Amino acid sequence: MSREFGKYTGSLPHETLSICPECKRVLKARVFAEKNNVFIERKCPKHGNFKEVYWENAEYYNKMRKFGSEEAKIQNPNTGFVGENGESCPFDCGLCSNHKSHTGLANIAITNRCDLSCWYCFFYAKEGEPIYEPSLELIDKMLANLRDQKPVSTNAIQLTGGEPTLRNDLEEIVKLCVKRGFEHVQLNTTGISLGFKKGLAERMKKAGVGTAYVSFDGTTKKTNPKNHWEIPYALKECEKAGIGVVLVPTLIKGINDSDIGNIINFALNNLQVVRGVNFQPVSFVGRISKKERNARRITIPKAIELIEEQTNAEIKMEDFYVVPTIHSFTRFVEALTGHKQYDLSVHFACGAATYLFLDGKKVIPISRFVDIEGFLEFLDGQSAELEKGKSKILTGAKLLLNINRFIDRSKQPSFLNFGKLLFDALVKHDYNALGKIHEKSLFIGMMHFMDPYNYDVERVQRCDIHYAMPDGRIIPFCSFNVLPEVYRDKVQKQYSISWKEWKKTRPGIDPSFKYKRNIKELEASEIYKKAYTGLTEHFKK
Amino acid sequence: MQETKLPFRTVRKISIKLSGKIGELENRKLQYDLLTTDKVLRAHIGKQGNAIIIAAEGLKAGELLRFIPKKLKPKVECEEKIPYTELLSKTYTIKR
Repeated sequence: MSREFGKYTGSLPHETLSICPECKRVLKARVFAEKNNVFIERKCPKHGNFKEVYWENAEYYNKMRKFGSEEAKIQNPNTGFVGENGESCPFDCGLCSNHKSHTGLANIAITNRCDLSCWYCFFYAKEGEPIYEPSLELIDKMLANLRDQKPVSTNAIQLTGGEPTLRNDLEEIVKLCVKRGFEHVQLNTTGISLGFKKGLAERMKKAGVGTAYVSFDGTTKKTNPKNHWEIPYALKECEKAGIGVVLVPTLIKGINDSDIGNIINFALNNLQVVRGVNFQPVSFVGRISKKERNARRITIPKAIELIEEQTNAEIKMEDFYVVPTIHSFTRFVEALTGHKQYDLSVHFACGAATYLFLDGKKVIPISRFVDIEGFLEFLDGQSAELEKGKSKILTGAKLLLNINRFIDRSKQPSFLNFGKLLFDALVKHDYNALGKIHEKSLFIGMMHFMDPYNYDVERVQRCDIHYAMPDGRIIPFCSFNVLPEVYRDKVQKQYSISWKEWKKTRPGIDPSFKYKRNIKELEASEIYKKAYTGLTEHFKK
Repeated sequence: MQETKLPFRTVRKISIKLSGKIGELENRKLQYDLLTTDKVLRAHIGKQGNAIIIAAEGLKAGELLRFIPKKLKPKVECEEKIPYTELLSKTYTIKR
């Protein structure tokens, strides 16, 4: 494994561990560059050789790996009956003592019922299949478990499913999250119920939901057959209720990768409610042929490259930074306060992001007026001095004096004093100003979940998007979903009840209920028309 | 909504000593094979060859041995019935 200066660097080539997509045997693997692509390759003694694209741009990989983060281990791991560091990634997740990130965002699946039946989805119970719906008491235990994490208690929770809004007691569940101290409560939803169930969005907001994480695969009927017609209603209701929306497109080559620029443009046209777009390059489930994978696979650098192309370079590849870049800020605040802080110590290959600001009609990415790398270097230097015992007051003063060296005021949006905002956040821990500019800013993120074909154990060891399970374990996303036979399906089956039993305890509710749309009626509405026509084109020359 | 109903009242904790040689990756293959066995809830295999397996009621140690290669010379050291709540209390984050 390649580690330099205590940071994970992932230099090319390097060795790691992966799995056989067929038998899930853990195998030694190699990550290497070839013709400016990065591949992961391993050989199973039974099923042969597997070589898969890891990142589609080796040059970009080498640029981004510089931002690989330190570890942010938890102090109270909860697996290991053997007691001799018996962690065998990825089969001892729980979290174990070898895991390198605390929980950044926790998921709790509160139902496996769904009112849609998307052909590619494996998260919902088909008719007659057992229903998984943990009780309030059990959910509360899972929440408490997350809050107990040390040294950094989990503060962001996503309620997911199935379709979480199908639970009649969702409001109570949200209130439990708030009562347990979660500062950020998010719903992972198709948005259909939020759009059409009268008063639901308002009730959710009142209960404590801050964000709706809404699937949105494209701006046309063809690229987004799942909820194209309903999104305008969901946005309207969320806006009315004051719930921020993050649009979540799953990117598939040849299906919706030509719509990326339009998706961002759509989001910019709805800044009164949309806070961000989080692209998720496709991860494959089940057996997929190599030909099909090659035809559909897209990775983070390619998606970013397409953003540059489709926005006429208004947003460029160099505007993006990988998620663990944020560690320099965390380190500084930790050094200043003497307390462990929320960190995003994920593997650099898992995600990237940028921030856009809208000044009139002009889109300005953050890196156009902030020298990000220069500022990070400066901040790291200050952190090192603080760690050596330098006065906090002097460091604060030095930061105040120097912060504007890294900001080009002539290029920053007219409504923004970014230097002050940054100083307030770093030194005073005052994030109010950040909240106030949300209607003029947009987060653009990338998050690439793995599948058995591109699985890298080093990535899963650093994962910070976790699932709390009813059996007390906390499981990284790519263990939970890539090894469902060990985690998700196995445990949910144990805690499920039969279809018949479920119906008996909830008279009058049909578990097989499916949403049916009236396309003609939806398309005729002003809400629909307004959402998709007459948009400001931010990227057309 | 439904009352909390735990899926098990008691489970079996089975300690097995493996004395044959097993490589690190083979060890994980065995762990995977055990975990994907219907009634096994947890399988931890230590570097010293001691394995602790938690299984649902109904799976006895003898049956479990069928899944472990003979070359590892598995020997059951201890088999006890424990309340499922004990397993949960060990798994839910405990201030240890």
